[in-house]
Amino acid sequence: MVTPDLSSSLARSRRGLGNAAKRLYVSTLLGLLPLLVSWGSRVSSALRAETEVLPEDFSFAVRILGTGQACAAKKGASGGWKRLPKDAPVRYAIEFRDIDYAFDVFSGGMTLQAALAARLFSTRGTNSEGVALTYMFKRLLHAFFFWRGV
Amino acid sequence: MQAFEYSCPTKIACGAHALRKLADELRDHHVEKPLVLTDANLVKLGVTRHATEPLEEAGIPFVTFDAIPPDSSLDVVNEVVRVYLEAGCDGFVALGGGSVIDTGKGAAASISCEGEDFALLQGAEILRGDRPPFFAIPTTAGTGSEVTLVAVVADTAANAKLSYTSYRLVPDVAFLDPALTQSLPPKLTSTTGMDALTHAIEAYTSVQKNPVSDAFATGAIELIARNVFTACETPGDADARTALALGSLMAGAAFSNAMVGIVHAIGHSLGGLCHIPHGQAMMLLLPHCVDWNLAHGVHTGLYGELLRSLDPTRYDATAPEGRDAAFAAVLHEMNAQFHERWNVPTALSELGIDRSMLEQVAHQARYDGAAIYNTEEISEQTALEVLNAAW
Repeated sequence: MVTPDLSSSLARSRRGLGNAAKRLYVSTLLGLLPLLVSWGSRVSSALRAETEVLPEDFSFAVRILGTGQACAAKKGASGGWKRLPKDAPVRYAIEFRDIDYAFDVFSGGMTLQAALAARLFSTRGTNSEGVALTYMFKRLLHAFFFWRGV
Repeated sequence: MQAFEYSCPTKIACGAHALRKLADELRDHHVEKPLVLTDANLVKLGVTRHATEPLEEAGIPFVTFDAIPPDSSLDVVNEVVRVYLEAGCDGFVALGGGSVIDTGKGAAASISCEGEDFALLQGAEILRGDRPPFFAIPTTAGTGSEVTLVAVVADTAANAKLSYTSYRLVPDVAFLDPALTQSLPPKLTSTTGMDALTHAIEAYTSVQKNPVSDAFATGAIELIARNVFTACETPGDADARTALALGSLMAGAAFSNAMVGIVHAIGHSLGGLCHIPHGQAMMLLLPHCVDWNLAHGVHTGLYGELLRSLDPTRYDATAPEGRDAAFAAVLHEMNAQFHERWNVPTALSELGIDRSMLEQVAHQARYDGAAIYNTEEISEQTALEVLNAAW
């Protein structure tokens, strides 16, 4: 007779709940991202300096592969960021290879540069704009998670 | 340990007469009609025949495209794609320096993407389709492009270098044959050699460094440091040429996985805006970037570790706390020797650049693709300080 391994099924269940929480957190953050960048650019000169480098109409997307979660946004004439449909064509795309990787970055557990070094996401688009976008996200994440050393 | 990936699937055929294996490698990859990419100068010097003669003897038909300039562009990539498709080729043999090999990589990638505009494929890991078999035959020991996942192509309209990175750009086979580099003059040998040295040093200090790339980087530095002056003094020394080519390849394997940093960020910008050859830019900038880093406490200790590979005698004779500075001093001394013995320019002022361009170069360097792999964020002020020091 095979005895069910209750401890492992409990662990699986907890992991499932953990993943659901991570997905919810990442979805929320992706949903707020255009607003956060627009708001952050108004209150932080460092963030504003980085967004000013990007041209008007510049658009980007952040996607989490395998989950369907994504956010796309476009820079407007006033410097504010407007949401686009998540499957809209964009000039620069960042695609995380797993939800855990996106969660680590968006929760301040890992810097974007460290995630890049570990190849946790792939990118598509012009290098110079990608670098500018990286600086922008770095400032944004630092504003929220400076206390975690990001 | 920081998480990392490492990949270098290229088969390496190294040593005298390595190119005699070319026909067999083509057959092994089921290539029946390769497009041989090279440049007109290499054809004129008779270097290209080292690859084409074995093909003729083996009865393998091929098409030659020799109109690749030293600073290749998107237009050339598109022209190569057109010739490849019209001639019904089924593989690439790229014989030349970084420009030829990178043009070939761009063309192969473009074909794999079935006509998608190559200019829109910039980024990392974006190429998904299979590309045609690719055989790389470097004729300089510098870029390491024969094993890297990087292709750099100029956008002449934007005065910028576009870079593409994908595991699918890594060549299938690399041939290192000393016969191909023995005709290189000392100036080119030194600047391309210092390019390779820069790859290894920046790979060792990059945010993406890892134990495997470190091993390749230190091995490369040893080979380059031991052989670059011999290859300049005695161009026909096959052992020195082979070792230098291998050092360049190993540096390529290191930086293909660990990436580079500030020297390349500023160098790419100098190349794009002032048309300074890449190896020349690396040679000029490397010691000054190391000076800047050390003055600001960046990479403290790491450069000292590399002194063991660069100059083992100096390493043994120097106390641990003095090894970083000794490392920088050796780089300056190498440049001084190249300048004194072979009249190689080692200051930007010798290259006829308008000094007022430096601010623009510094701005573009901050947004170069290599900049994000630098441990410290590169500000325009940082880049400008380095450029002024190199002036």
